[in-house]
Amino acid sequence: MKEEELLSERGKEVKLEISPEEIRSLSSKLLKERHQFLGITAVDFPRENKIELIYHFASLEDSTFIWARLELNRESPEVPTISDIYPGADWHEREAYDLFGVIFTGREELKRILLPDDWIGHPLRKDYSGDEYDWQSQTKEFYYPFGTVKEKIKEEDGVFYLHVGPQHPVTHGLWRLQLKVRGDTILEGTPDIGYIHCGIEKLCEGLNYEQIVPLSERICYGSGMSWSMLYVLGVESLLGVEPPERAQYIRTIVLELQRITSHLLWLGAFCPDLGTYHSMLLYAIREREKFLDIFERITGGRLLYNYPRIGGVSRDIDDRTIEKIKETLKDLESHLEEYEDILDKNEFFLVRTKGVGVLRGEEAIRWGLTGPCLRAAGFKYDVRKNSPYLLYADLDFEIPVYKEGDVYSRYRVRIEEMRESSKIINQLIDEIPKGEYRKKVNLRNVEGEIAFRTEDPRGESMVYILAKGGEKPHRVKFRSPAYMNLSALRRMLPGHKVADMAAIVGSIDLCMGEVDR
Amino acid sequence: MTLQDLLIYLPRFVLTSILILLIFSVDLIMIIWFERKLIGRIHHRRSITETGPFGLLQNIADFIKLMVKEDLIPKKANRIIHDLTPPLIAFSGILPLALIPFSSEIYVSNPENSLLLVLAICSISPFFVLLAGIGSGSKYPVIGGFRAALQMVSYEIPLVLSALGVVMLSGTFNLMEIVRSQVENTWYLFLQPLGFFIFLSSSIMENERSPFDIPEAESELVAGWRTEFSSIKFGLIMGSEYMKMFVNSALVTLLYLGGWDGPLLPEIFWFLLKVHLIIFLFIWIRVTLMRLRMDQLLKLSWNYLIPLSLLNLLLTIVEKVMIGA
Repeated sequence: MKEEELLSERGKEVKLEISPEEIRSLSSKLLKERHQFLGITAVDFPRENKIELIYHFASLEDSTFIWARLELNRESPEVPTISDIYPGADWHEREAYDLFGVIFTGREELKRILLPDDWIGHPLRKDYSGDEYDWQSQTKEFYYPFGTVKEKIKEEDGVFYLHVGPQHPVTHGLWRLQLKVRGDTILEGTPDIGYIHCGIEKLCEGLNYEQIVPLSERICYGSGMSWSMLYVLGVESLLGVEPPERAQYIRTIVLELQRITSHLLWLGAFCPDLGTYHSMLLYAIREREKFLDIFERITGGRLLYNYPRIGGVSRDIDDRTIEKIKETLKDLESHLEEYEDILDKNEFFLVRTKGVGVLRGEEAIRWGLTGPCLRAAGFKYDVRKNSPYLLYADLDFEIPVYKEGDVYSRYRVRIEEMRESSKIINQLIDEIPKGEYRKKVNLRNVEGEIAFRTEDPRGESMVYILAKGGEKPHRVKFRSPAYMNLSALRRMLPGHKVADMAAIVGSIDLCMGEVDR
Repeated sequence: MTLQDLLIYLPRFVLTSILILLIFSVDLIMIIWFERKLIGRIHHRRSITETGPFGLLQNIADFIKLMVKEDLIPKKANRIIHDLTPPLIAFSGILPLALIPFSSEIYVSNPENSLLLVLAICSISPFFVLLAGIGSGSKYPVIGGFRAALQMVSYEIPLVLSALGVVMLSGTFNLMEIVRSQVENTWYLFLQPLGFFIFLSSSIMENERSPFDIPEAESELVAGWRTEFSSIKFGLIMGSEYMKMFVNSALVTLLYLGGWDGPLLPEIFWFLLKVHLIIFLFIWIRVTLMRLRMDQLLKLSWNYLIPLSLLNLLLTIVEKVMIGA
């Protein structure tokens, strides 16, 4: 094991080089030391005839960020699994198998996750041509939507299978939940994803650095800004560019505005899950509308903004907008109190959310929860505080933490996060320094490697960029928080009633664009 | 019954039937319009505005749309059951109107035990719902159907037990007589507040409206037992929901709010006003509360509503003795 320690203003970064056998002992050790598993990034090197796997871990207590890098032979890439230590790694292993053909030994099944089961080849390998799989003939002979369930499911006494989705009111996107049910009680819940996989990571390899910005925004329809910002911040820290201070202020403000809109959208989408309670949907959308107007003023867009640029932002912010932001935030304060009045004093809401979908303690770490779900499970972990970026280091804000780990505390965390976001914006809005908002950056011959983490509204998001000269990146990987929160459904659902399924699925704030990428 | 009686009775029967059906069908459209508008108001949006003045013609347009839509029947469905259940459900929804008096003059028939008959007819429809669920040949309707059956287990007993309080006070099962005794003394709302509350909540359960829309359960079961119904079959089922709501509000009005009792204005006006007030309450509750879970509903009903309705009966006996003394 080779160890290398780097200290930056964002905290300690440890880079380990290990052999494939050591990964199991390393991850059990890290789990004991309360480290969160973030994801597996595979990179293909056809010339060197190797595939590199990078396991990322982050400490929940301090700012330590760990890279564990191991090399595999390209012809027979085999590595022991860690999905029994970190069940959250299960889907990441399946993804690495699906897209790179890495075989993980010692686990039960290794099925494709994003692509159809009968797909040929592994698309993210550099020599993949795409001609092997004849998708036209596949679609012509009526593509069976439950293709992943090849074997006929046997239904025995009282046990039956219920397919929730791909089109179903509770799915909030296009995915399928296969429930094994006895009577009204859920025995197993298996999410099936990949319906809207559009290969963003593969597309990135064919675009230059500026062109990826609008593409990365399309990962999530609920909070596009935070994803393009994540990518831009990643490239900037790779290049070592320091953007003008005015741009940093504007960026922090827009990110927090985006967090508020995302949480409002969640609140609106969650309440109808609990019943025909569309009143909250309309109220939350009403508030969100005002924030979208602000976004329209700042960026010109309402859903997709294409606002951040490498080295700054695309447009400046004017005084009228600043006034508007202040007004809207004041409005939001009073409306948040109204929401709390409506929901927290509603016995029906409390009965449906308290003690439902509990996932906390060590289980929450093992299943890789991040964001509001993890904070609701009692961990004071927020990338903005643990390893600050942008201006967050100097800002005064709290991290809301609840202990119960149920649906209700997730709701509480999100409501309070909106308050904190509005607090952050209020601190910055009057202090925006004068000056340039964008700076020219040379994007030719970029070299290096970076893994940049930010706090997305849904949890911890990470971008990995490997640049080997030229105008295009060698590999871009997006780590999505909803991906792992969704996989944790397998732990949250069993034992609950079918009716609770709606509340639990709603509480993790899904965005399928982000999961399938 | 002599020939002379029949000659007087028959035209009266036909005329009042037509009158009640007319009032009812116009009212049905208005109730749906009223619900959409009211929910829109509570939601802070405008609701229907485009078709006709204030969107009044929207429901007629929707009805035409439902009529001309294609009727889709799933492959695995039982054709006969699938075709028969929607009319049967609508029938069981509209039948109680033959027994409910709209005023002391306007009624179709007046049998001695009309309250019992109305309650009996109302409790038929869950069987049709269960049948519709099983006959649809897919899983969500089956779950919805069984939930409807379970729901009946929880609302039927408190509903009848709380109505018994009124029967004990008035000493009759006849709706006309019940109203008459209220006109003479006082509304049973004041004598039976607990019974009123239990009857009202059981009525919402019977209506399958939020917060007790468990068999329908939009977010979990797509549309519950009605998932596989389309076109006019769905229209009939939709309509029957509002018929049931009308019938239940009429029952609440007759049993607790003194029926057509009121000063100056004609009796029918007071009756319809009270019915619509109760409907307003139903709609208001619908947009304010979340759905309960099946087990929570059973707990609510068996742990609280049934003991409370028994307590209500006990109180009624005490009341009766005291009034009698």
